[in-house]
Amino acid sequence: MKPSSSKREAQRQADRILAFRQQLDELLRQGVLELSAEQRSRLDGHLEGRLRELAERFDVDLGDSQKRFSLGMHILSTLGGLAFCAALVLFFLRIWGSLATPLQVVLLVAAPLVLLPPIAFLARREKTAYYTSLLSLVAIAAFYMNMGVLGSLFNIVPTPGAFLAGGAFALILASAYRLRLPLVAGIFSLLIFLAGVATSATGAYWQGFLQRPENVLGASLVLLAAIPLLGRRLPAEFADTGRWIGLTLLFFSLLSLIHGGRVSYLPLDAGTVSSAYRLLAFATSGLTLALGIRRGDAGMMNLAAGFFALFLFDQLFSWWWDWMPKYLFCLIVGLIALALLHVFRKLRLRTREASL
Amino acid sequence: MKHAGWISGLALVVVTNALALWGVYQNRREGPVQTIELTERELPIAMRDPDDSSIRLRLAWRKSSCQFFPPPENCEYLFDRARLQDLGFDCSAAAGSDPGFRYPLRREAFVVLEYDGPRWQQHAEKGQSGSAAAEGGRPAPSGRESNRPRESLDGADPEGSRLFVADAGLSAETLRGKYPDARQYLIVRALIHAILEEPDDSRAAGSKPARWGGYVAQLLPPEIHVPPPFSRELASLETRRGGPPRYRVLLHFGSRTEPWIESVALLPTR
Repeated sequence: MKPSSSKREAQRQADRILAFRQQLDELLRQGVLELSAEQRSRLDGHLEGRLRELAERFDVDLGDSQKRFSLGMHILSTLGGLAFCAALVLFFLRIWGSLATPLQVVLLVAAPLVLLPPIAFLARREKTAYYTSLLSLVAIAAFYMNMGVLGSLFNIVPTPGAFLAGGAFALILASAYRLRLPLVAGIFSLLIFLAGVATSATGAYWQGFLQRPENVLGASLVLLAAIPLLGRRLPAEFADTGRWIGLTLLFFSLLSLIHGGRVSYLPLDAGTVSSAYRLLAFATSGLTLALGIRRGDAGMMNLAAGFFALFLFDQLFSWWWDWMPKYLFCLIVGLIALALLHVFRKLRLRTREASL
Repeated sequence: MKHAGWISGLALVVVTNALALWGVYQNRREGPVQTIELTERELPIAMRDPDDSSIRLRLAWRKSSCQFFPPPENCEYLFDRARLQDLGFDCSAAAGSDPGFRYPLRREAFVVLEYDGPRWQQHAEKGQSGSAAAEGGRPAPSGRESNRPRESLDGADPEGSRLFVADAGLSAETLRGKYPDARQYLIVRALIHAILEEPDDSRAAGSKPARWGGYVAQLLPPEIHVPPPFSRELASLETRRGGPPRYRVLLHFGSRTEPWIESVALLPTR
């Protein structure tokens, strides 16, 4: 059996072993397969040894109940991290006014720094990085607080550069310790930086980037283009997370441009901008769906199919809602949903036949 | 490579802070470029959370009456179309354009704030000669507007800020050449808001033609930090609107137009 290189791969192996063991029991019970006691004992020993090894090395979940516990622990570590971040910022605000400026600067710079060695220590000790992830979130918040408060202390005019630094810090922690939440924080920070710089390039103030969805659209395209460029240097789970965030932001910015053609940079009337982006929305969601099917990526397929359906119903709504009887509109939407179900069922059957 | 993660993080934090502090040093290296003494009228204490122990002051200036909702019928913008174009705004959109073109994104510029000068004199005289008329010319403040600090409202307000927007431009040096008196003319960074006001716009008066107008939406930085020991002197003072000033502040601006407080002196209460 191929050795696992990441927790995700290890979890997949453990799931396959557990499924295989269940299926084997079933086949033996039905008499389809017969194994001697010696063969069975050797097989069981091998499988148990492999599961034990995966559990010890990667802390994989062995069964559904363990998976539910893991999910709960992930949620708890996220909530705990956010609560610690809030506590840290509020504590600083509370004591802030009574400290001399040099002491304030020292404390601000020290806040993220003192957390780095414990993060490294925990990362070496933990198989599943609950506490590492939690402490990393606190370190990221401390670094943002560091930059924000230092800026207000010396009355510095805000720049998007703070998001570049914050994003880079989060990505360093994410890649060093394979952490998902800091990765998400890092990607969002870098997207804000990119969108802010793009807005500045037009001569407008950088914080206005949300008022022109094309800034977010451009930043999400940069992210989506960067993932294949980084190739194998990027861990698979990082590429998946990046792709998911990039596609979600891409589709949401297209949706807001469909409805807000007037807030586009394009020197065209709102109706033309809206129609152009509607076409682009169908094309990108359709292409993403096709790409997802080709790669066998269920996450990408579901996301693209969801947005394709959303764009479609949105289009139908804008065409027919006002002049068609409401019952007829709902009936047509229902029929289209049935047609889409039929198409997806055929696609599913085709992929099943390919895998047999 | 075992420690690469936390060492890279440490290096990034140190370099980022070093760059920020280098910028502060650059701003103050050659001493203040502008120095001005203002009172609480121009630098009121900014609203703060009860859990926040720091003190910040807000540079208050006289806003255009068009900034408030609903604006008075004869409201005047600070900048017309030509001046907005000088500031980099694309004012080519005609009446009836899509709102994206009618409300361009805010742009950063330098503005000249005149302190206790002819504009204030004119404003004060107008207030004395016909404060009732001036107040009567605009609807009575209600809702959120009634909560605004008094000095920000463009009416007869003898206790409000004496800072008036005199000019704006893209170069602080050019503006300083035009307004050399640093004790009366303060040059600060600001965000400029532009709008193409349509005749059928609810903000515009009935049958007026479409017009481009602009105003200062925000100064940068919006608030000025009060360092200790001055913060301790101001800590006992409550945020308030109007009334005689309770302190005066000596404010410096550096080469990057970033301000800092040199001193704060409490004024004797009357």
